[in-house]
Amino acid sequence: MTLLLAGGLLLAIVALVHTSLRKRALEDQIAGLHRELQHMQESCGRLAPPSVVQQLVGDDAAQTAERKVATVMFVDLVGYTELSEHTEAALLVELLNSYFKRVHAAVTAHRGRIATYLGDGVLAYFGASEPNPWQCDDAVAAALDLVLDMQRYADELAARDLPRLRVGIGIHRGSGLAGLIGTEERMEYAFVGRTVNTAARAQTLTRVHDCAILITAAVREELGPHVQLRALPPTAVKGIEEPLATFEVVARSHSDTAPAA
Amino acid sequence: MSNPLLQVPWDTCLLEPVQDRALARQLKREAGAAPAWSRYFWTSPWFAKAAIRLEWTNGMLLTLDFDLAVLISLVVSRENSCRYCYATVRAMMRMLGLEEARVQAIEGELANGQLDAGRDAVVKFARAVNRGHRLDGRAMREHLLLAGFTPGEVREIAYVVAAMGFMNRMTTIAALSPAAWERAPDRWIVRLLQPLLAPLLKRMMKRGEPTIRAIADSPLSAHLLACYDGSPIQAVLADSVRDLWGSDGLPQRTKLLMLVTIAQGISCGVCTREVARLTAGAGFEFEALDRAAAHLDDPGLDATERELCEFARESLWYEPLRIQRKARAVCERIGRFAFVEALAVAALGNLLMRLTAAMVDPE
Repeated sequence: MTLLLAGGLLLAIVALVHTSLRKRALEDQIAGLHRELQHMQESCGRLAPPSVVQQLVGDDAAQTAERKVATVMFVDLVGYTELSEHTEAALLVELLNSYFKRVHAAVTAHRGRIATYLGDGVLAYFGASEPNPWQCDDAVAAALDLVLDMQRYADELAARDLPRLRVGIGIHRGSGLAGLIGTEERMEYAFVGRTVNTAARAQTLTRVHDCAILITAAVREELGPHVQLRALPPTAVKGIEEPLATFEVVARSHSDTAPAA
Repeated sequence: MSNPLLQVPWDTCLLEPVQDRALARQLKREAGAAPAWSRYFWTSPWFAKAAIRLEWTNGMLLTLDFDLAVLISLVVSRENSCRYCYATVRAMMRMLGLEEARVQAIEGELANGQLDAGRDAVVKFARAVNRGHRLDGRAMREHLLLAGFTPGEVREIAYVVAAMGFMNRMTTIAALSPAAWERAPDRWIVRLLQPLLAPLLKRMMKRGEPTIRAIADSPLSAHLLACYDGSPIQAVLADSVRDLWGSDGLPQRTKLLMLVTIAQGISCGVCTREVARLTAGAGFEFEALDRAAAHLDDPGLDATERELCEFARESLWYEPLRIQRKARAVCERIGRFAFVEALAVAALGNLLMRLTAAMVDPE
């Protein structure tokens, strides 16, 4: 009888220990999966807006794509090709990084999002990843801030006997497809469509009209009275049938000085 | 490492708690409690009282399952990256008796979308109300009804979502420190007392009683209030609207500018019309305010109005650290009292207008 009781007790203890170990293992497994998920979300967060990442983890990529109206900004460095041919690599990297840092600061300060770097060019969106009824005002404010910051940087460079850097910026607003686009190996949050091409064309016209910031009529319609504009003659551009009408952004009415071309 | 919001950058608290025994007694009498967090907002007693009364645990719900309300609170706080509220809800779940592994499993299910049809519909609704723009409230509500919720539950789900968004904005903008709540579930004393805390917490989550009070008129959100006939939510919302408009902490024109900005931000036509009616009633020209809010700038705005329009806009979709820095700048400029009033307009404005967009169909 005693032996039977001892055996039963032993069995109960073994079962208890076993259950406890299994529970612990299960908890560890859940914690591991949780950490993995968190890590994945943090990594993805660098590529896409957090809201899209969270949606994506639950749904598939195609479901995250949607048609939107957004404002697209194209920025590039004037005279970069020539600069890159006559500047040593280390200095060129320093100049490019300083420029990219300034673009990033201006764009994010006004709720924009850098989409991609294309050589010396930068593509940024306003209102593509979150609803933003003020997207045109934001894009123009970011462009004005960037031009002012680049003027300060150009002064610093001139003091070091280095060439003055300046930017050309094109801004257009229109509809497009926003979402995670790419292959399984390489995906990025993108806004695609004719709007992006038109912004790029507006940017190329900054060279033609010798000015820093050009916006299209679609952006002008949405802007408030606090921005001073100068209408420029419609100009033919590659890939668009009609000549593109643009407006130079001269200044904000409150405190800014006019951005020099 | 458990709480997924621990890495969210968070500023130091912007406000100091106020010591006022008389006000504490008054709040206990009129709002049923005077919790420690409310002391940060006691410079505007009406707002502190509204915030306490607006908590869904405070007898607001007639039918909605409390577990679902807790889940909604968790989802909304995560959507808004509110470390303070998320830690509070998480600690509450642990104190109610859920093991850490179970809480993590729930978080995993939410993140992975592994939910049953009902909870999935609720989570999608909560996300849409918090992030949405040009909301199709009717379609969103129908989706909940199709998932098996009753109309009574649907209006309470909408309320919990919006009220939690309100709490998120209030605590995030003021940067209330989440540290104590984040540590609470793992403290030995809390673990030891958990069996006692659970029934206590359950008793504190009060079920509401049906009401018969009819709201004759309201300066704002009249259509929304009509959706909550028979619910205790109606009176609390009505009182909050009345006190928001009646407070003299900010000029009426400034409050209107902030409200127009929020209405424009979420593109809610009903909200815009209601603010227009309020504006006309107060003797201001709506078109001028609407134009100013459309670009957050206008020669007719003074520096404070411009700053508070921008602040109202920031409150729509925000990252905590960014809005906390903006809030600090606003607070330094206009002073603590006016800042808490501006915070109240931003947080309550978002609650009322997001809830209107979800619950009231355009005419």
